[in-house]
Amino acid sequence: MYSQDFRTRYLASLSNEDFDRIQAFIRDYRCHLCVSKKDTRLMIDDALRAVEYLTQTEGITLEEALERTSARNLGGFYAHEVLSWYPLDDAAKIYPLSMKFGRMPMFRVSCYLKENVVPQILQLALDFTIKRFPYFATVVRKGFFWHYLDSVKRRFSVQRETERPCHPIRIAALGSQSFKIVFFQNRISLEIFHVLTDGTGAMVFLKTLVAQYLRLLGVKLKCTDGVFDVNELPNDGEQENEFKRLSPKTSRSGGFMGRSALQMSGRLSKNIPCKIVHLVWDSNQLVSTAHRYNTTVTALVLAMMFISNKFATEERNGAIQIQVPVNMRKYYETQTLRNFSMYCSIDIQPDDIKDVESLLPVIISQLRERATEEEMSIMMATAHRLVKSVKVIPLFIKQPVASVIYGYLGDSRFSNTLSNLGVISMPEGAQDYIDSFDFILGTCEISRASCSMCTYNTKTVFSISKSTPDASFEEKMCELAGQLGIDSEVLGSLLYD
Amino acid sequence: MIEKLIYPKNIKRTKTLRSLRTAGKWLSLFSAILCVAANMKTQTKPWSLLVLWCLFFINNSLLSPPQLEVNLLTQTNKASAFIIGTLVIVGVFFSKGWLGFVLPLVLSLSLLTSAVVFFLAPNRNKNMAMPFITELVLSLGYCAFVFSWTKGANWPTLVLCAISAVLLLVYTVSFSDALIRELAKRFHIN
Repeated sequence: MYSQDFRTRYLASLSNEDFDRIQAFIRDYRCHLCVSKKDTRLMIDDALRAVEYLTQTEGITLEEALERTSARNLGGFYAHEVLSWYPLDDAAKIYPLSMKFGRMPMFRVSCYLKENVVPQILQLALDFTIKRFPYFATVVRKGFFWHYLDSVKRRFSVQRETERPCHPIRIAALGSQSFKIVFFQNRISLEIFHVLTDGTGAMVFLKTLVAQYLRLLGVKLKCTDGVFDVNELPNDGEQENEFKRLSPKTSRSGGFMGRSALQMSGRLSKNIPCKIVHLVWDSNQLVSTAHRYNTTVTALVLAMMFISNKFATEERNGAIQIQVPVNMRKYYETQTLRNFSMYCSIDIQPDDIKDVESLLPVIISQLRERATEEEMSIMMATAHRLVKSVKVIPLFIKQPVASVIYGYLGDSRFSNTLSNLGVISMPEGAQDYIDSFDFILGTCEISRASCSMCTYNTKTVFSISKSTPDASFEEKMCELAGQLGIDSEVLGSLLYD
Repeated sequence: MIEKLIYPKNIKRTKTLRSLRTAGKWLSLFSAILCVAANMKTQTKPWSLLVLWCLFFINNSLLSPPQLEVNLLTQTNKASAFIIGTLVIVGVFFSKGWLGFVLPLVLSLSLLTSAVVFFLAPNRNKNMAMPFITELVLSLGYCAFVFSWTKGANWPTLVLCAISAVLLLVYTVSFSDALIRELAKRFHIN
């Protein structure tokens, strides 16, 4: 990313006094770095690039720039020996087992700023932020019984976006990252292997990174609303496998078996996702429409999805089943940033799908029945019991069996998914710099679309990641939104087919 | 339908490589079935075992490469395993009498190669030393097997035993903490 003569050129441009300050700054940085020579050089260049940008483009004094980019912000993370490792949480255990070449359970959370991203500031922000989330600074390795996460101490780099969203990350290579920070124009995105965390955990990381980025640019932001202080010690509770700690002691089981679902009819593309579509709605319009129907936003969107799913298939044999992840953090007091979600399934026969108004009572009734704390806890207990029962079976036996079972319990049981991260909040003052957030799920092998939603300020972004070129689903969603009085701005990607 | 494109337009395509891989997998499956059938039909020595072993290696390395832990140490290990496996098949099914002499020599060479790779970057490799430890343990296991089942071991086996023991001792003494952590990580059941 950097040319070798950058440092020479930059140092040559300084006055004698500034040169001495920078040399002291570099010495201070070296004291905080015990990584490879290449990473040490790159990280010092990261800081110098940021200083150069802040002094020459933002016009602040060198003293102020050095203060903002101080090596204190590196903490001891890069200087300490690699000692930590983490077993996977119960939900994460299935992901490496079901992984195939070119297919990896991934998702992406993004933040849209009001101005274009400054790469050198973003890189330094990541250098400072990663230490607060040591659990993310890991790579997946294979044990004899289970996979695990092994800490890596290296420079984690940001990249300009050049690939399809949720394109599989190469985690095989030595010291590779299990997540990616990419930027494109005014967007900062975190693409993450699901083994690390779920949407909630990923959003905390992204918000903290963006807040740090804005602080480097001089914006004063407090560490509130789910934004962590990067110079604070990580909390042990953030790394807890809550499935193990909080699973209720019950012999009841449920939630995992079910019939195959009706799938959309479009041809499966070889490149997945082959298309990303965002429907940007005014959240006030959306909420008032939901209130008009005396329902929740999730139920309203689910009703629209059922109609659009029916529209996108000619099959009538079977039920349309939509998977709705449920964040267990709303039921249990926990600080964990790891996976802590279960899911419920809402299913309706195509013949019963007529209009939004008639669907809503059915959807609400199923949500009330299936997305309860009791049902989710039983599912959690079932998952934990299953994991416990196979823990002493070697991985080379578990892996092929899990791949087959995943085919039965996996995405063939769902026509679609709706993952709603809800309202994203940022500290006061951030709204002047941040336009919106969005959240994209990776596509599945069989179901043609995966949907997700989040709201920031007055924008609700409904995202669809498609594995078929057929546009019936999203066109119908747009049409239905219009009929309900919700204006849609449609953003997205080219067709990568 | 899309009013504004907000993703890069020039996306890298990997269709050709994927198609080649798929074609390769089908070809190797077809070849495997064909050679086993031909071998059984002709009722000659089990040469198809050798072909299957080679196809397995090609599949594992190129057509369905591993998703995790691909580094110099694991790849060296894999190459050694392939060579040793080939020698065992040839020595057991095709020509006898030399395997007991040649195998420990090849194992010794393989151990020394892995040791060089490991100690080239010990601080980095100590956190993923399991392939190296496994190779050492298997080598010692082979020596123990030879000592217990035969009347006397030949000099290549003695050399192998000495090399394995020394390397294991050096590793254990130099990286005892890392060894305990590595074993805890690799064999955890949490």
